Amino acid sequence: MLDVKNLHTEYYQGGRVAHAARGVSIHVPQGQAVALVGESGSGKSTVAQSVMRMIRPPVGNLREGIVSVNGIDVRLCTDRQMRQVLRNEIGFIPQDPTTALDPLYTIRSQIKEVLPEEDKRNADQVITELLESLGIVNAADRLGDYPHEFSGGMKQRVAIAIALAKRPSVLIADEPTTALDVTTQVGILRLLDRLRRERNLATLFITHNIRVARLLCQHVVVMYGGIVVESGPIEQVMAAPSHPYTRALLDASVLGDRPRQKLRAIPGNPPSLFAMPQGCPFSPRCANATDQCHEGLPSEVATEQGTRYTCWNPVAS
Amino acid sequence: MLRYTGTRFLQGLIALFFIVTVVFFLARMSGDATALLAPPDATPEQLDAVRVELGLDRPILVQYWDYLQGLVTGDLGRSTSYRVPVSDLVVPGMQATAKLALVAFLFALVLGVAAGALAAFRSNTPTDYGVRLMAVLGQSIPSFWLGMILVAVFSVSLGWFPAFGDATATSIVLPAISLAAFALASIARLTRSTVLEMLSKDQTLFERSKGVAPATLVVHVLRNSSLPVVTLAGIQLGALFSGTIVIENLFAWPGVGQLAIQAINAKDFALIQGIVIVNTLVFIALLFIVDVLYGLLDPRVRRPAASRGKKKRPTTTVQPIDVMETV
Repeated sequence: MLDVKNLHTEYYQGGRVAHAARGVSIHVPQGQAVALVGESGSGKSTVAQSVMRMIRPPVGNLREGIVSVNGIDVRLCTDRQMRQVLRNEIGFIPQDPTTALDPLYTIRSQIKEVLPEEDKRNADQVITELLESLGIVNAADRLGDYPHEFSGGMKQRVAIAIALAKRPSVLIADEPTTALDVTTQVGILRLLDRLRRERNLATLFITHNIRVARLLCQHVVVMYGGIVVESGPIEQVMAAPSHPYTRALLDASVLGDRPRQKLRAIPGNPPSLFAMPQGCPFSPRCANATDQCHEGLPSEVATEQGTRYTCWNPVAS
Repeated sequence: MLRYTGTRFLQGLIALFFIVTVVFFLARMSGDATALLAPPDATPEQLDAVRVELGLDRPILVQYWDYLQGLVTGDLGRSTSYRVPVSDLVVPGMQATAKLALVAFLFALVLGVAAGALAAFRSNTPTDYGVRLMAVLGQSIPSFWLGMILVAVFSVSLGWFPAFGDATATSIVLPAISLAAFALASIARLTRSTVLEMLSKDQTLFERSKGVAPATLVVHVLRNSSLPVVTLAGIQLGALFSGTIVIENLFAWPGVGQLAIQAINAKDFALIQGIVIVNTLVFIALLFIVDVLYGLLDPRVRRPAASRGKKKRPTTTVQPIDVMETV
C-alpha cells in the first residue's frame, strides 16, 4: 500500500527554491491502480521520485508530509533502511528502457541483482520463468544477451522483470509506454493490468495521457503546478470533470467516439517552478479565471460522484 | 569479436605500411647524406665510393624494396654514426623508454581514475575542489620544470632519490612523476566529468531504484564511465612514449628519447628512421590494444545487434492493435 499525505518536495538551484510538490496526497490501496496525470513540469515525476527518495540534498528535499510504503515512512528512513524499502517493497518501471538498462551487463546479471536471496540459488530458472510470463519467448536462450539485442517492447519487459523480480507490493510506472511504438504500448499496458490483478500490486501509473490511464487505472489524480487539482474514480472524473484543467486535458487528447474532431490545445505554457502564480497555478491559462483565482487557492471540494477538486469556478458538467 | 579484432589488426598493419613509406621517402627527400658522411675534402671518386657502400647509387624503388624486406626480418639498417645495426641501439633504448613510460602510465592511470572518481562522487565538496585544483596545476606545469623542482627538493635537499641515470631501483621515481603529471591530470579531469555525467543518467537512477548496495552502484557507474577514459589513456600512453625525449635528457635516462637527440645531432638518418618507425609501431600497437579493450568492455562493439545471425530474434508477441480502438 502506498499512502502519500500532504507531501511537499522542493528543488534547490543556485540559492532559489522550486516548490515541485505542494501538499500532494495520493492513496493507492493494494491491488488497485491510480493514475497520476499531468503535463511535463506538473510535478508528477517528482512525486514518484519522492516515494523512492531519489530527491535528496543538495539537489532537493522532501520538506514535509508522510510518504508511507506499507506503513514505513520513507522520509524517516536511514540510507540503509531506504535501500531495504527499494529492494523489497517498490518495483520501478522507467520511462525509456533503452536509457535505463545498463548496456554493459547481460539481462541475466541485471535481473539477478534484485532477486531475493532464496531465489538466487536457481536464479536462471526463476528469471526464465519470470521473463516468459512477461511474454519473452525462448527466454532461456536470451539470458546472456545484452539490452541492445532486444527490441523496445522487449527491453521494457526486461525492465518490468527487474521491477517484479523483487516481488514488490508497490509498482511505480513512470510513463512506461511513452518511448514505445503505439502497438507495443497496448501490449505493455495490458501486461501491467494483468500483473496488478495477479500479484495484487498497488500500482502508481504516471502518464500525461488520461485516456491511456483509463485502460488500467481505477482512480486518477490530476496534478498541475505541484498541486492536485482533481482526483477520484477515473470513470467519474472523465465523465464529469470539475476542474477546467481536467476538461482541457480531455479536450487535448484523442476523442475515441468522434475521430474527426479537432483537438484543442491548452493555450500558454505550464508555469515555471521558480515563478509560481500566487493563487491557482492554472489561473493564467484558465478561461474561467476570476480575480479570486489569482489571489488564493480554494480548499478541496468533494462531489456527490466521489470526485474531489480544487477550484473556485468549476466547469459545469 | 575475432572478426572485430582481425579487422583492427589489419587496419594497424596498413597504417604502419603507410608510415614506413612516408618516413623512407621523406628521409630521401631531405638531401644527399653522402656529403655529410664523407670527409669534407673528399674527391668525387671517394663520394661515389661512399654512395656505393651505402647502396644509394641504386634506383630509389630498389632501395625502398630492400628496406621493406629488411624491416620484415627486423633489420632496420646500419647506424652511420655508431657503425652498428640500428636495432642494436633502438631495442635497448626502447626497453628503457618503455620502462619509464609504463611506470609513469600506471601511476597516472591508477591515481588519475581514483582521484577523478572520488571528486565526482563527492562533487562540490573540498575533496572535489582539491582534485580540480591539482588537475589544473598538473596540466599547466611544464614537465621539465616540474622535473627540475623535484630534483632540487627530493635529491639535492632531501637526498631521497638519485637526480639522474638508471643505476638504482629508485632512479625511476623522479622522472616517472615528472612524466606522469600531465597524463594524470588529464585522466583525473576526464574521469571526473564522465562519472559526474553518468551519475545523473536514467541508467543510474534505475540502478538506484533497485536498492542495490552502494558498492554495486559504484561498479556500474565506473564500468560505464570507463569507455572514454580507456580512449584517453591509450592516447596518453602514446604521448608518454614520445614525451620522454625531454625528460630522458633532463634525467640522463638511457632511452630512445636521448638516442633520438644524438641521432639528429649526428645526422644519422638510418637511426632517426629506425626510431620513428619503432615509435610508430608502439603507437599503433597501443591503439590496437585500446580497440581490443573497447570490444572487451562494450558488448555493443563486440556483438553488434545487426550481425547476430545464429539465433533467430524472437518477434514481439503482441498482436498489432490500434491503440485508439481500445481507448
